[in-house]
Amino acid sequence: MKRFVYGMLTLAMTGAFAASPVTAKISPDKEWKSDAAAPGSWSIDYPGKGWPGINATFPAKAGAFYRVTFEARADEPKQRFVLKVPDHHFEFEATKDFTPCAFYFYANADAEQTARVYFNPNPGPAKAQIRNFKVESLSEGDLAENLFPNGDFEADIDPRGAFGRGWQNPEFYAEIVPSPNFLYGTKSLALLPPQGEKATLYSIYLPAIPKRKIELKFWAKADSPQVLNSWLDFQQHGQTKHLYDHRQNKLTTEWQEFTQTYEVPSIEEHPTLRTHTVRLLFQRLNAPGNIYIDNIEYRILN
Amino acid sequence: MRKILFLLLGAAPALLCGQNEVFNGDFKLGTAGYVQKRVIRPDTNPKLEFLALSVENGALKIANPYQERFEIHGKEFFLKPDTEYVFRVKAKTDQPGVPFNAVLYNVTPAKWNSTYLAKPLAKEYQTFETVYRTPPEGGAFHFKIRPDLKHPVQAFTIWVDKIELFEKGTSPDSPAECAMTVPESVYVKEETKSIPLTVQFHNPGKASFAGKGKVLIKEQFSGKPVFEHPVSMELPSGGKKSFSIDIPAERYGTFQAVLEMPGMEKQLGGIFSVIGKYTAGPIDPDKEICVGFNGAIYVDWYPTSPNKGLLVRNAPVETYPELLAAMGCRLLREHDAGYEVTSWYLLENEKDKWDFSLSDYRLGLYEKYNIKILANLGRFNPLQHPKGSENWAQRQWPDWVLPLCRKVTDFPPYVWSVAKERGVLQAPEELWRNYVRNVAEHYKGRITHYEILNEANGYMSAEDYLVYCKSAYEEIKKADPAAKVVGLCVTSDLGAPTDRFTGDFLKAGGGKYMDIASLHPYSARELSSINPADVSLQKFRKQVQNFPVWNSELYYIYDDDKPQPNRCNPDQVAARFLTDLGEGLAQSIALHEAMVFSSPLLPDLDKVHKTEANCEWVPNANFVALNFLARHLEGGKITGKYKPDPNVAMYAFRRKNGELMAACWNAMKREGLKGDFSGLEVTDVFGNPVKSGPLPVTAEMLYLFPGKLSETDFLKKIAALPVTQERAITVGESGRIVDGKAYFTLYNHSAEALPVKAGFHGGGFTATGMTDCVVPANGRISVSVPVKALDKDKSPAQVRILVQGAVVGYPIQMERTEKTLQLPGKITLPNGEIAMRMEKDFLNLSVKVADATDSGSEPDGREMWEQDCIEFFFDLAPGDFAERYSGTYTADTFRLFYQPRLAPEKRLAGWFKPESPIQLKDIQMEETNDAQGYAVMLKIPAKFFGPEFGFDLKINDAKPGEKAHSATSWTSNSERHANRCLFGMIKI
Repeated sequence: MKRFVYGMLTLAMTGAFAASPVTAKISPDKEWKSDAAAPGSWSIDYPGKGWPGINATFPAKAGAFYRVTFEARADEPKQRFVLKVPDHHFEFEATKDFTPCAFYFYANADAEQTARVYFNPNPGPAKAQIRNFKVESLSEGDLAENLFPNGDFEADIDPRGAFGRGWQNPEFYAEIVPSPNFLYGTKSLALLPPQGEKATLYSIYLPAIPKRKIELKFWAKADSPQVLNSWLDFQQHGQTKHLYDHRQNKLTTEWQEFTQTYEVPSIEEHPTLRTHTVRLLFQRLNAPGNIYIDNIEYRILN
Repeated sequence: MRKILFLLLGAAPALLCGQNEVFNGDFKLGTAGYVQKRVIRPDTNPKLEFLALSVENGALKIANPYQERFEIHGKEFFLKPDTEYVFRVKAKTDQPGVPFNAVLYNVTPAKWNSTYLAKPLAKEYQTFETVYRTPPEGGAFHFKIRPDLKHPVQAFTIWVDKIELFEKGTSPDSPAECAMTVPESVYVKEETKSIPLTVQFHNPGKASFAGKGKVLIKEQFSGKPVFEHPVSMELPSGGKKSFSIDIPAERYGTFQAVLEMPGMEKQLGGIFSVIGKYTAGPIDPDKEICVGFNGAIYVDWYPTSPNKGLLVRNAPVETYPELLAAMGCRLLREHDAGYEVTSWYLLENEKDKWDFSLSDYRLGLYEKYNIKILANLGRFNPLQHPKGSENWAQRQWPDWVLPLCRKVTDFPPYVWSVAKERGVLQAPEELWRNYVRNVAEHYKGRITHYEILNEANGYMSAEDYLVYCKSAYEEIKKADPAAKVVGLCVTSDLGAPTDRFTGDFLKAGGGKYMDIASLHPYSARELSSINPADVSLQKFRKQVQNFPVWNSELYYIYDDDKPQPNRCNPDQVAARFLTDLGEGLAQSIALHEAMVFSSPLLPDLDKVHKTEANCEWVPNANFVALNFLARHLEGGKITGKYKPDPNVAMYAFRRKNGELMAACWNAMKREGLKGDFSGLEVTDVFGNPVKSGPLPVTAEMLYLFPGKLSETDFLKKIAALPVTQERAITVGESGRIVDGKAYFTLYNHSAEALPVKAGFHGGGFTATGMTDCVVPANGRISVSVPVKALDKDKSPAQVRILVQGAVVGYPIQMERTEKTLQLPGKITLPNGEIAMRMEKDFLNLSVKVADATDSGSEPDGREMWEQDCIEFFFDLAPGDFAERYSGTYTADTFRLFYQPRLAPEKRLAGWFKPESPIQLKDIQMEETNDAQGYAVMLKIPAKFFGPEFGFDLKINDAKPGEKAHSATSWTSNSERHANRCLFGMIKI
């Protein structure tokens, strides 16, 4: 009798693993008005100046990783939402529909921590909203899962919730497109040709543990053969040396899987590693056609 | 005085300009676009003169001095759906009162849509018309002109000045037209330098025409252009021009002329074939294979015509055998082509009054063109025609024999159901003997092979057939000891099994009364069929032991969901012949003659109703393929079968001239195969040279010749032909989606294990992850991936695999499993309930059925499911899918039948394949019955089951002595008996 053999199954995680919610005190600045009809939602008529924000304050434990998530939208695309935590911050571009945004950080001490979302002023008033501002703590088990949110792009979530653009790029050269014959699914991330020499996307900060390996996996192909650069970037404010791992991934017109594994040095070797974070960078050059990326997975290995 | 203001009214609004759909409706292009079928009457036309259509004083002349039936068919055109058209004709006759009859019609698989235009003609031209509203689907129409069928045909001549068909409410205009014609339909390459193509233009429209384009000569089946000639044309209204182009006769094949010129869509492209020279030598069909097919010089008679005659298709009678001779056809099985030479109805239409005249004439023609006939005596005569076919179906037994026939009531189980429905009449043996004796004596030495009845296993028992075969054999041998008798003529058409009939016939001594055994292998058409052609032929050959075997009919030579018998292509024609020869058959007479002729005017009708469209003897590319076989493999013998790749057929033959050749094709239809033919001489199916070296191995036939190689090296090379596969991994044809998972099977055709990542997309689903697996070398693995439903997805279902650096999508037929059950569980039906659970080492199934009517303790001729019966369907490997025919029951699929009303020892039956791991003896049963119904518990050892199995259940209810009148089932799939992928799923 033939038996059914199951192959090893790899699931593209959407990042929705079972992190534990943390009770955070949410305190918006006075400019933010709560929406009685939608608890946990705040709106603002932002004049284009000032830094009105919303704080999430919670007791952090030393050595723990936390994930902060919220959803935001604004009707002025030039505006930016900044999520600031101790040690670093990330700037999310405004989208006209609610976009889920995520961010990880590491607590170095037992202390009250504040995660704050605020505007980084840009010209132009904006009607904006924020909702579902949450903090979760991650277990060891959570850290072994895929930590990159929505890396299969199937939820059709605007990639600006997980990526920012290189400072020299006047536009965000990426969008979700119908998947060009990936192994499954209907959507992939397309990196569009830049106007200048190159276009860079950098991700939100992701957890990294000194003296442990981290692994980035993704699938990519291009309309014409070209190189896609990827970095595991540990850049931090105040660093004396920029720590990173760089790969040149040679893309063809066929889907290929790329894997980048790196052993994170010790804090003694690189003190900026005390933040326990890394970000992913993807950079394409000005070559014909789109680059397609799918199934981004980031993990901390044993 | 009042001034009166007159309002000037405009004339009636001008009619919109419409188009005359009829090609060459005013005959300015001669008779182009018109062909004639005619039944030549020897009684009134003893010289058998064929009066071709002609144009006289600008009108189409239809001369009918011999009072013959005819049909003049025009070229087809497309009409809009649900639109009124005016069908208008202008005609006259030399015999006032002669009715003009035209039918405007189209034929769909469901029905014929038509209108008639009927009018008695006068000596002066008259115009008459009718209005016709097309059916909702529109489509390809054409018209035919014929005599009035209700009365005897008179002698007359009709002239048709104009035929128009245009949308009602418009004024017919006609765009410019072009007719491209060649003098002959067949040219011999060795004797022809070029073929003159006459290109005629006419502009019947009101406006002038100017256009630039080109005449292309395209290969008929592939559509590839092989020649082109630039053309520019200017024509005033009413203008005509013509010129000739010489087409080089450089390639074998069949070709059609096409004009590419904007505004010149109304055109007729001539078709011609280029063949190789065939010279007929002596042939002994008992020792040498030759090209043959089913057909005949067609005699038409009752019920379609009160007068016997020879049906011709736009040419004299002799054109038909002349063309067959040019092809190299040496054997004609007279079947499905009118009243055959040996037709009892024709020869002894009145008792003891024999008329061999038409048959003698035809046999003489065959002999003139070196064609032997396989005379099938009796054909389908015992099987009565369906009701309602009295007006068109050919008569069978002579009318005077019918009252003397025995009506059969005792049918064996293997006959067709239509045999029981339509009735079977068996002629008395003494009359049959007399008929056979007279035929054999009259045609002694001229008809060398007689086949006894056609497909008798479809409508009679082997014992009854033995009576016919024995008596025919004895009479034939007495009259003509040298003549051979071909017996059996068994078919697997319409699902008729052949082995039981054949076995019973031979057991009863039938082998003494035949020299050759024939079969019609409809259930085994190709090497890739679910019942492979080679396996089936070898099985039959083994069963008939030492008898030579002939394939005497196979109109459907390839597998298809909707087989269309006459649309086979030349590669399929060649593959069948070569398979038969390669598997040791003595003759291959598969095709019907209609499959070697085109219908240039009626290509759309040809696809739907070949017989109706068959108006001309214009050879097609199948004809040319057979010509190659005649030239190269007549008298050939198989020397070896090779398998350079499991998917590739390779047969080597020794030709009559002693030389070796081989035939190679991708019999399993695997994509992406390439062979290295370096060092060999290669041709295509027609004999055109193909540049040797690496070539794709596809369904297209490749003939291989040694060239400069010695025989030994040639055979070594073809046996070990390097064949590479672009894609080592393939996917089983079907799969299933069950509870959010897609199941499918991967195959590895390479000699090394291959790591694979597999996903799925399409058919309304997409995977939510991919599967990593390693497919064993030359092996398979069944996998599953989780899937989610997609809204509005219309993309075809595909398994997508990353292997060897590329993602490839494989189409797959996914069955959605609508019913699942986790054990322990219950299935509840309106009249029953089944509880299932695993207990200790057994799967327990307890079924209770509410059924107060007892269907009877005897089957009374009913099948199991036609009585009170529970049918169980099991599939022990539901996630395992064969590469082809995945739905077919495997060794892991079995059925059980519980019939509560029968004697205890007969109640539980099962259908298991011999190689199944489980058999009926492994199953335990406990029963309880009561007045309200019955109950049964089955215990099946758990060791046969994996974590899940396919399952279905059907409860049938019948009244005493009657067939089941109702049935309830778990799934709603009525095809579960044929497709295991439709079962539900049980999870243990």
